[in-house]
Amino acid sequence: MMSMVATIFAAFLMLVTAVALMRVACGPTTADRMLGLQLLGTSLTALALLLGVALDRPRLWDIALVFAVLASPTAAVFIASMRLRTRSTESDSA
Amino acid sequence: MNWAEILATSLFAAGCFFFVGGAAGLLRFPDVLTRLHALTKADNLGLGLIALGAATLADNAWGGLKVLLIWLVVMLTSATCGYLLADQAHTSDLEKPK
Amino acid sequence: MTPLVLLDLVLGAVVLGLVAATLWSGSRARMTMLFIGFGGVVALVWMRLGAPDVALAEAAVGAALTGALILRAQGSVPAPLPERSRPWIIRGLVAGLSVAVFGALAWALISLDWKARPGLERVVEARLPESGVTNPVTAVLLNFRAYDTLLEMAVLLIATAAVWCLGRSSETPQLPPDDPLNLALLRPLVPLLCIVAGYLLWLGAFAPGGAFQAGAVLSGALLLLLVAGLPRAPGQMDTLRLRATIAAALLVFLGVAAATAMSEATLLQYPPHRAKDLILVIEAALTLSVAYTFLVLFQGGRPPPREVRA
Repeated sequence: MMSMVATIFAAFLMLVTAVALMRVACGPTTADRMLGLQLLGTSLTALALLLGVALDRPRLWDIALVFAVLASPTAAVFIASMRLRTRSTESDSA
Repeated sequence: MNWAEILATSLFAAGCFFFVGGAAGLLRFPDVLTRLHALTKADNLGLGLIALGAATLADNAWGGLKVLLIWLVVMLTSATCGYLLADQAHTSDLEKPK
Repeated sequence: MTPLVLLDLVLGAVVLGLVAATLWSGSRARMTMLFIGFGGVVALVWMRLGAPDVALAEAAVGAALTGALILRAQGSVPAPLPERSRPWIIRGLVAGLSVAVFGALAWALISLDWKARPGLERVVEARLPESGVTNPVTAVLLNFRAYDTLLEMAVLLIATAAVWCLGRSSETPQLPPDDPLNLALLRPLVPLLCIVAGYLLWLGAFAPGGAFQAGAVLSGALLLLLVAGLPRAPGQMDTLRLRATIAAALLVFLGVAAATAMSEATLLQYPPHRAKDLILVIEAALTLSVAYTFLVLFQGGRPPPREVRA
């Protein structure tokens, strides 16, 4: 019973994830796209937790841990790369 | 359904509600900085409530602690990276292209 | 319609929509960021298909690390997509070939007799107690088919050498220096990443996990150190320690192979009472090498040698 409920919530949350991906696709600036990826990362963490309940495999929660913990290196690399690009275009046009 | 499952279901539902709010904000707000604000609500409350729901269904205490750790990590990440992202977006990337 | 079928339909629709949106992209930024998102969603598909080891690897490597690699490459090369210059007949041929291959695979999958289970599951399960671990994936990767993993380590080393032959690494992207939030991010996360890496390494013996996933998580810690601009972060200089760590897995593996070849007269045949320890030692070296290999691939070229730093 619980696994069926969790499956329905997981399906619903997937639609929310699709919305986040729309922001990645549309967002005019690259920062918008990164925000979409951030929401995607959080949704995937939540979905991993829900799937662990839905498929009755608590081992899937380790995947949620990996999603959560690897979100910050990816975000940090993005911010640093954007900063590098901004500085290089500024020095090009200077 | 015993009481743990009922509690978990309501927590999941509440968490999904905040995720919908975060996603709606991400889609509808006009600006990078405002969208970031909406995003952090989904990160903190949305994931937190779903994590709490999962924790009540954990087999043992370690599973519950692991889930709470996940929540703490996501909160820390979204708070600091949110600020860094906002700082960077504010000082550089408010141009349109890409 | 059971909830599981509903989930599968939604998941499939999201994946297909994502692929379409990625391929029909007008700008490089959109295409690359959608591709990073695709990595994450595919990890979800693996979870649904009941392959948690692959899902772990996809989440760590395919989503997060490949994402970091792509983001760094994109950050230093702003450019629009090139014009579509190929004539339509070539594009039609490629499309036709792709559809044909996909159709053949789909037909093969549908006509497979799933009841007969033609795979090697039963053989592996029968021999699992001798392997020293209880996770069949780890048993296959590090015991039954250890030779393949040894060659993969050699391939990683060759890849590092090839990337280093391409030239010097470009300037390392850095977070804003002297920002107190950098340390606020690093202080909890770098130790946590190391602990999670160790946890995944240990877990691989009896649950989904293992050395590759642990190495990917560890390289996340190394990336954080590098990007935050810590002065002694690894990967900034071409030192002997860096090279030794990258080569460590292959060297350890070769050592074990030589020892088993000499004592048991069969290459990589672990004595069953020692198998668990040997696997752990090899996996530990593998974790370190994989982590540092990701780091140098992220740098994308050879770092400057030690003397250049003032």
